[in-house]
Amino acid sequence: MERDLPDFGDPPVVEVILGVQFDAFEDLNSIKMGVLWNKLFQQRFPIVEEHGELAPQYERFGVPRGSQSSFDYSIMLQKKPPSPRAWFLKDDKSELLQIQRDRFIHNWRKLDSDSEYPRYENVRETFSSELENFREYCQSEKLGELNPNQCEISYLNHISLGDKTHSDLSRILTVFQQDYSDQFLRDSFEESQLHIRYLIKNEESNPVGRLHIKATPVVKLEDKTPIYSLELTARGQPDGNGIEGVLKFLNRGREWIVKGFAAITTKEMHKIWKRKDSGEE
Amino acid sequence: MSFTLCESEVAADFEPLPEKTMIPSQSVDWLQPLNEKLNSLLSLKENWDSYGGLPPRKQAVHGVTAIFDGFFDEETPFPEIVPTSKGNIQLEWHLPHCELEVEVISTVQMHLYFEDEENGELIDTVLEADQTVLSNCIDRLKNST
Repeated sequence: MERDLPDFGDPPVVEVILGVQFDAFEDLNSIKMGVLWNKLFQQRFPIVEEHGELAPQYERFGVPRGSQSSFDYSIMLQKKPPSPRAWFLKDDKSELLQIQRDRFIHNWRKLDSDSEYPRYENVRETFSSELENFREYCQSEKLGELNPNQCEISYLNHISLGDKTHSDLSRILTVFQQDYSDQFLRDSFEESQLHIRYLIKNEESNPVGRLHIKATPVVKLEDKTPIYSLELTARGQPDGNGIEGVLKFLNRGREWIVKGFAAITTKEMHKIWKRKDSGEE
Repeated sequence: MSFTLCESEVAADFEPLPEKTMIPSQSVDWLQPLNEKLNSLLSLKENWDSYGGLPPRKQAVHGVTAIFDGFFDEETPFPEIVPTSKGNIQLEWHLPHCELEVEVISTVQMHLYFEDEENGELIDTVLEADQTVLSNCIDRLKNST
């Protein structure tokens, strides 16, 4: 573990997602996607699924409404059928590659309580080597050059307090407090969710991305217990050209996520997750 | 894009895609002309200008909708929306004392030209993710109408 970064012995992370968005390869249709899988990924990712295309996402700054969209829009070129988002899964379904005309995403997920988070450096290594394979393939097939325009890293945590209902989020998050001005509502709490955004700035204090933190009450599929899903996503511009620029942003985003996670979660939870470093006083 | 599914997350991950270019118009009537214009631009074919012009690229269309989404309200003067031969889309405002032209390449790539004849101010710049300059120029347009 790097110095200066908070470290947890038993973190609640269940999924880590590294992704890049790039200028679309318009000719990467479902047929070429099949050839791509056959040539590059079939051995390591033998299971295939097809899903709907993800819409482009950008972090912009100085925009009055920020990334809060006031209307939903979608653009489908009607002359062409929708482009698929292919899922290539490992045999045990612990890892996934998602590829569409303008996205390349690598997911790792925890399959059971015994499986251990392989750590960021290992997840990043898989992402960068498979992305390099994809880049070389697109170049050799004359689909175009890989021009990244946004990068994204997400950590998904499942947090249970062992209660039969969705617990008070203030036990988990320092930034959520049930502090009422009047008695009204004090005894009527059911559940809560929130979405907070923070600006990620570079060394020159210029904004280069955003950290989104979302807490959502969910129910675990396997045992129907109520838990909170806490998702931290850092998204922004690549920090330089090519895959190197993507990895540089992902490193910065990961640092913001790890530090941000420690900053907004309570010391009560840090004890449960076995925080190793002393933290800030 | 997560694949760890919880009950309340399943639906969001599998929402069907709309089948055509659309901006819901019931709540934002003033955006309907944009919807019509973009649909007409998307129907342009290669050589639409008989000089080998490229049809508007999807990224440019997304960029235009992102500008409307982020900066526009009912009081914003509606621009001319024209294709360029390179496959980009240009937004143009020609008001009595000032002009603004934004060539949209994508949501985070634009070329902005602004001129205020009253005070001689000229801005000619490339914009990426930080779009404060565009925000200021659009405010100036609103104040000058």
